[in-house]
Amino acid sequence: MVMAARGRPSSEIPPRLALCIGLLVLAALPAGVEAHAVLVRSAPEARASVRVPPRRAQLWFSERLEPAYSTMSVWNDRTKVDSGDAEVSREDARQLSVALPPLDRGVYVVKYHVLSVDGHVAEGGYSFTVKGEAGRK
Amino acid sequence: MTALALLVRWAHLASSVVLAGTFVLLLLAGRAARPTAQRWERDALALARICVLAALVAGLGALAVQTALLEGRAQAALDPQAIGRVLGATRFGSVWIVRQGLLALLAAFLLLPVSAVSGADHMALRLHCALLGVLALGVTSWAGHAGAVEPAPLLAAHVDGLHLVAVAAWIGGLLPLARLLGMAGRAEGADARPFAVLAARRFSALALACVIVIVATGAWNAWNQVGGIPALVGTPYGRLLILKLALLGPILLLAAINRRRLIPALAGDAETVGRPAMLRLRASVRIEMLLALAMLALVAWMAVTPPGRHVQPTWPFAVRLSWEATASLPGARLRVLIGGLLLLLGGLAVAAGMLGARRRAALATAAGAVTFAAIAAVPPLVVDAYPTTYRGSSVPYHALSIATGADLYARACVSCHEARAHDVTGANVARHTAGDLFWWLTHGIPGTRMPGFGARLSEEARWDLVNFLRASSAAEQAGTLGPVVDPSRARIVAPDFSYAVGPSPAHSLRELRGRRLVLLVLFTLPESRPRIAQIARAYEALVVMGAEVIAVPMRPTRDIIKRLGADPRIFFPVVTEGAPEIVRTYGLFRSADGRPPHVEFLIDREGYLRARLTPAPGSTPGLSPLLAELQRLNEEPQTAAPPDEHVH
Ligand code: HEC
Ligand SMILES: [Cu+2]
Repeated sequence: MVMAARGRPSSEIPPRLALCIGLLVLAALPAGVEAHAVLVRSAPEARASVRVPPRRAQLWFSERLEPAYSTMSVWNDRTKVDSGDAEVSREDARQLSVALPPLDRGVYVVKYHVLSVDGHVAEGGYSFTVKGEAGRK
Repeated sequence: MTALALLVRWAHLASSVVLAGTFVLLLLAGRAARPTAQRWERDALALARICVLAALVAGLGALAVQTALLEGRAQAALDPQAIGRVLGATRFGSVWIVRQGLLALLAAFLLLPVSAVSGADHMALRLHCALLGVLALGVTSWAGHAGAVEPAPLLAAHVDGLHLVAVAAWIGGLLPLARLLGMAGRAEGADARPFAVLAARRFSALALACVIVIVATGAWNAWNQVGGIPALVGTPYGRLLILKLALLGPILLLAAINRRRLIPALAGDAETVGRPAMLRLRASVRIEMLLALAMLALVAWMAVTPPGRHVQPTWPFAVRLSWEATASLPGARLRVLIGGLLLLLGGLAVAAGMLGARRRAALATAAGAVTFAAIAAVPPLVVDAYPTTYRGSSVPYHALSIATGADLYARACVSCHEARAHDVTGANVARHTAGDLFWWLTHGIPGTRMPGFGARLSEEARWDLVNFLRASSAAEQAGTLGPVVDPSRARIVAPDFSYAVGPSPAHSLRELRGRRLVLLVLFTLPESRPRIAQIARAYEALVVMGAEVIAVPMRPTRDIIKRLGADPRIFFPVVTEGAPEIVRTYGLFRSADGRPPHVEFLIDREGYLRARLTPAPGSTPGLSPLLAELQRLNEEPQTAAPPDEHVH
């Protein structure tokens, strides 16, 4: 066979070494989804309280996104309120946005689930409030 | 899933590295003429075949894992439609196709009985294979963390690709090299010895070049992906990098021994000369290789770990070094200076030791100098540190947060601290990081009556307080800010804010960063009416000079725009939404003495507060001083880096 090390006395090390590495790896595996692309900025901002309901919710990330696997949604209580056309901007692949219908007053939650070009997934969310004389039903 | 992903990545990486390295070594060794060497060649090609198949299979595995991850279900790994989507619509997919294509081509070369005969053709074929192998490895950088570095992902990916290729040329050749040394080191392999010696020498020369490239590109990569000491010692990614470097140490040591001792000992004409050295070299190369394979496991692990630059570091030590801390200690800076000079002396001694003859003496001098340097400089630099010391605020430095923090302060802190927060914004606070303040607010300050609020206030609320304290502290620094821009002044970050005018959607100060100078006008009616009119008349000139005006009423009312009047017409935003927070925040910066009803701030293109104008009530100074300051900012080269962008 090709591999010189195989079957020789010195090959005692590899299995053990491999085991050690394996255990080390398993012991320290990251749990859940960690951020690779990081949310840098948003509009409306997190916790913002706006009188004029926004027409779009926009997110800016630290890295470029893959349009096919990057999406966001806006929720009021448990109802999805956005128009469902979340898209990554053509000019700046770090920007994701979704159109909103006229919103009533209330608390809204923005959620995102994005894939950055490094092949890693990140997700998160935040809320904002529409207050004052806005939306008539 | 992550364990599987890791395993696949490692197999992918290791097989590609050995593949590329094997061909590089075959190229270096040249064409074999003697039987043993030819046998080794065949072995090496067999190894390459195994590797190319392993790389192709690992590639399939990587695709399956990625598809399952992206679709969020394990079965998707076998769903052709889902796989097609990943291949067609992601960068991972494009890179995968290119890479598998290159490997398939290489496999075809290897598996088909290509009997290129003449010497030149033979080498051409190998060069071809080596290039394919190297390319197949290098392209993977584009789909990794390097390809996501902003603002120059292409450059980062090239540097990272170069790093990988240099690693492969060096590390990947170790396995076949050990095999060659083993075959030639045996009694019956004597005919291959000159071939082996030549190959080992050339390999050693290449390895040295590779190490230089690896260190240079690695340092650059590390700077991009980790970005600093806190992330190096305080994030999983950084610690993996430390582990990786810890493995690299012994590998380099072995490589140095091989190069300095063993390879020169290989030479000799007699039958047995060099044989023991050859076998020792083989043993050393094997250990090197094992360490290298372990290192590749760490590399694979790093590839699925968020880079340190995006992760909040946890500082592992109870102290840190801080230059700012020396400001208030008499004589401290002198000590640090002396320490620095001693360190320089130590460096000179090391250099002298390397060049000159009296090595021992020089090294002893160096050791002494470094020790005294540490004794002189380190103690005054040491300050307490906490796990959160280097954490950035998870809440942006924004008027919304600062105003919330101000309310919290008024509720929770004034029972012990001053209402205007003077006693908690002193020099002590200015010298500490936001993370330090966060730690105190969370856990209290031991040995004082300062309580911890970790149980009572949410993390968000504590960051709001930190933002408020930092704004107050900055406002104190701004106490002497005048109407004239002083380039030598320490920069004060202008807190971000969002604002809206009438029924249009909100904008933020940050959107103007890098584009416009901003004149932020906090006004009160009726006192400010003449000044606002003046600015409105000159608005066109201000815009031509690159400035935007944002006017914020200190006492906002619904009809504020109507009250401003229609003549002259106002074309700049008069904020109707977000005004209270802006006033609350910038009110901190208003003035050291008194609370003028009208104040203007000049914010430069990087987002720093550069001047404060407080026209005396009643008087309306001409606009020329303002225009002069705008001109000054326009002519100023961009010197300060923009404030940190990240919201973590
Ligand atoms: C029970 C009284 C008490 C309350 C309530 C309290 N503090 Fe303190 N705080 C102290 C004391 C005592 C010190 C220590 C002063 C010293 O360094 O001697 C201190 C120190 C500090 C410091 C460090 C100042 C420096 O210069 O070292 C900060 C910052 C601070 N407090 C912020 C706050 C904030 C923000 C709140 C409200 C959430 C708060 N404190 C509430 C008593 C209190
Ligand atoms: Cu990542």
